[in-house]
Amino acid sequence: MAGERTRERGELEGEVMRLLWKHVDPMSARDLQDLFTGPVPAYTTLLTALTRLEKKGQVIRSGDSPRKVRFQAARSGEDFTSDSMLSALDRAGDRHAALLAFAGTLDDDDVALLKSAFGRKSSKR
Amino acid sequence: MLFWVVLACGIASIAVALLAPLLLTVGRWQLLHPRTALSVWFGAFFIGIGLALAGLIIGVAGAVAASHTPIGSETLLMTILGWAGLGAFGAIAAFVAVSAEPVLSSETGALHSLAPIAISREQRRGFTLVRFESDQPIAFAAPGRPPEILLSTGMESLLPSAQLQAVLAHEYAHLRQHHAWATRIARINALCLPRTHSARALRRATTLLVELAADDQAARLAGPAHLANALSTLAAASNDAGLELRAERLVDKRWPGAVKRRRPPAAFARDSSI
Repeated sequence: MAGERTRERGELEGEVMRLLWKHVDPMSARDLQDLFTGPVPAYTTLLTALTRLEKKGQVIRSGDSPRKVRFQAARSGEDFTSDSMLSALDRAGDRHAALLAFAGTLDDDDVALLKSAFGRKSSKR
Repeated sequence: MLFWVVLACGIASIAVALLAPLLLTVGRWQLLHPRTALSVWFGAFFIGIGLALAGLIIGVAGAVAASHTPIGSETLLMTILGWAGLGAFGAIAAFVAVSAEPVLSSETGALHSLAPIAISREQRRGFTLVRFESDQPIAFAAPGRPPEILLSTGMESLLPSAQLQAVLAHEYAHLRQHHAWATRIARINALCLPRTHSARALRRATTLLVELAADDQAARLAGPAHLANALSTLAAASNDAGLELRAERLVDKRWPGAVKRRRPPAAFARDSSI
């Protein structure tokens, strides 16, 4: 049905990046459209997502005329994932900032404080 | 008279800022009752801000009133104090806005950069569960609209279902108890008052207490043993002493029996359809 949202916000960009990571060669938006296995996004929607990804530096656009425009991932999937995870957790300039991580959030002072309060049991074991 | 009220508000505000870190870090009660401690810390913070604002409002009101009365030493003092206070307030407000901007934009940037690595998104009650490919055991909550909990495939394969449920309950507690706002306020406050003991103490206490408060809520929902075991498993996998000590704290604390505890919400199950 027209106008019905078929994906969560940001999900299409993720799918586009995964398709681009699978194919090393630059691809047109039409080629990409053919590769979707689930709901196929409209051509204009796909172009909007690609333009957003280009602005974020995750996609490189090549080709001068609209018919010859091709897209490829700026970095490999492995590089991107490890960089994103590490930088996203560190970028905010704090140990966890907006991203409240389950592990790795306590610094040496916190650990020392917890140890002074609860460390007795662990030393007995 | 008004001058002394303004002075009292200012002194009380500074006293709260100086005394709160001293009083709130005595003993280990805050580690056993982190949510209460967090409320008291932020209560003291807002009382301090409230006293300073009250002093400012009274000072400005006094300065306006003084302009209609004959000039005396107190009216002159009130006029200077009121308008100087208003100028200082404007400068502080501008400084806070400038300091807050990079904090908020860095958070948004961090969240946007993670969007493409998701391998699946599943709408659960109260949050979206976003799975991503990584060998490392990682889980974190990303507040926003809608709020998200991001979970790595490494975490899913490392922990059995009951422990994974406890991890999700911990992250959900961060979202429900608005811990992101607490950490934001503490960070911006520390940026505005650099090298100030009270600002550093608030930030440090917030970082630790939000984790412990989320642990307590997760233990209540998913069971302290499951959460403690999850923390121990992750501590062994990552050699993180902090995780092991969080597990020790859970073991040390008294919990209601399993009979009294409600069944963990289905939203935290590995597969929500189960």
